[in-house]
Amino acid sequence: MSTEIEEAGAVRTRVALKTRSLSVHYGDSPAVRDITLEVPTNRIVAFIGPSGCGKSTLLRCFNRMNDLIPAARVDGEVLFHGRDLYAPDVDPVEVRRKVGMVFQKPNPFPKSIFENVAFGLRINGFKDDIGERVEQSLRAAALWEEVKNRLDAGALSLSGGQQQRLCIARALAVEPEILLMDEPASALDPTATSRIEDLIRDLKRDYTIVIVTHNMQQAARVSDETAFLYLGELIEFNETERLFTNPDNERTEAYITGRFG
Amino acid sequence: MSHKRFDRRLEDIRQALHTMSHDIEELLEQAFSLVGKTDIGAAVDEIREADRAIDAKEVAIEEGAIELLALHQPMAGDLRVLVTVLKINNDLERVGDHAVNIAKGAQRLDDLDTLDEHVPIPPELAEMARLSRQMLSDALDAFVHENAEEAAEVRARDDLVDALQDSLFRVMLTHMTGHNISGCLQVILIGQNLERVADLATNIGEDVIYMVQGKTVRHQGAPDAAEEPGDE
Repeated sequence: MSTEIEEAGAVRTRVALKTRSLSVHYGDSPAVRDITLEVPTNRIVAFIGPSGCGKSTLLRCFNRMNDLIPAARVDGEVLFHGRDLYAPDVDPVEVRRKVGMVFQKPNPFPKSIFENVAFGLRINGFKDDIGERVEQSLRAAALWEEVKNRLDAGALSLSGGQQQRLCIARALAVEPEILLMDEPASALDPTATSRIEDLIRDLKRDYTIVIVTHNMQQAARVSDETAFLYLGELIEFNETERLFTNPDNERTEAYITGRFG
Repeated sequence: MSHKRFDRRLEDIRQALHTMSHDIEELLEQAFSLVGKTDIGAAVDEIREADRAIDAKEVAIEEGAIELLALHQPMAGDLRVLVTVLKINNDLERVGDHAVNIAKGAQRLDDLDTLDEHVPIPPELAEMARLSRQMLSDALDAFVHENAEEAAEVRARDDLVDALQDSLFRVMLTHMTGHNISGCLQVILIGQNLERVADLATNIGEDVIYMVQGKTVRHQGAPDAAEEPGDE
């Protein structure tokens, strides 16, 4: 269950995840500076900004992927169900089960389609009907109809777009609450990209999604809220429609109209 | 950088719209100047010809704006400017049509047999023409200056033209007899065309407010010129 906060008036917004004064350093270099934001439940939040602005670093804080980078130091808090994900007693593996991630390049295992989705279930000790869960996940990732008759085929035989949807199915199989996507369509052609975007919108019903993208049109098309980061700072976090038509901040305006960055 | 090319192309389009707006203002003035005059057939033809030239400019501006939308996918301020250009372009083309309608009305008045039909042209009509032309001119200035205050002020004047149109209608009904109904209706129709020009000028003003402030003020009743533009 997500934290509930009272907003202005009678509107209630559930928050899936929030950061408080979050900073990340790689060695002495700050990559993310003092960011406080809230990711609402069952919404799609996009992070945009020029290369090196900290958007992927921020995303990776949400499931402690930065732990895998020895020089990375995280200060501040990432609150999930009211608990700081960086508290000493929090198991990063458990965090990554609840907060799944899909990467820029599809990275299926060199195994069958079925085993790719079943893998996460097996290592998590899933005892129920694995076949049923694999089918559910492939359906949720809009891939089932294309692969249902060849589940034993190698995952690497799939097209790039299908591989990425397989990776999404793999992430969904362990039933996360939040799905992080780091440039999930940047390696795909326009048709495959369009299918991924449709899928992202469909997944919003059941998941909270945070997506990093270089493609501003993609952020505009798929997300509900957009965060613009620059030099590690959160410059503007706004409803996507407003940010792309009438942003509050001049630097956002300059970036999205191609005048800097 | 592609945004430099975008900026150049956008400036070209703005210039083209600016030139077209001058043509339209002139056309409107010429058309109204024919009301009450005689032997105006050649002048009416000239106005029709000028309107066809304006139609061609409208198409060229629209094509240029669509090309920019397709090739550059502009956002934020750039997007608002382009959308506003498209809307003003369309509104100006319609002002041109109203100018032609006014000229045609003047022609029909000229065609009447004045010995049988006396058609009064009340001062309300000239005042409507003056106000609507001024509103159009001011709305286009607001666009060029990117000035929401000027645009809101244009919007506030629309009620005056509407009131004059009501007054014109009542005056013409009073003067109608069995002999001059056709001529009186022509005067009312010319008034209606002027009132539509004022509406279109109002639309342009509203579009300028959107362009500058990103706020949609259409269909929100009478504007408050003093508060609207500065209210960020």
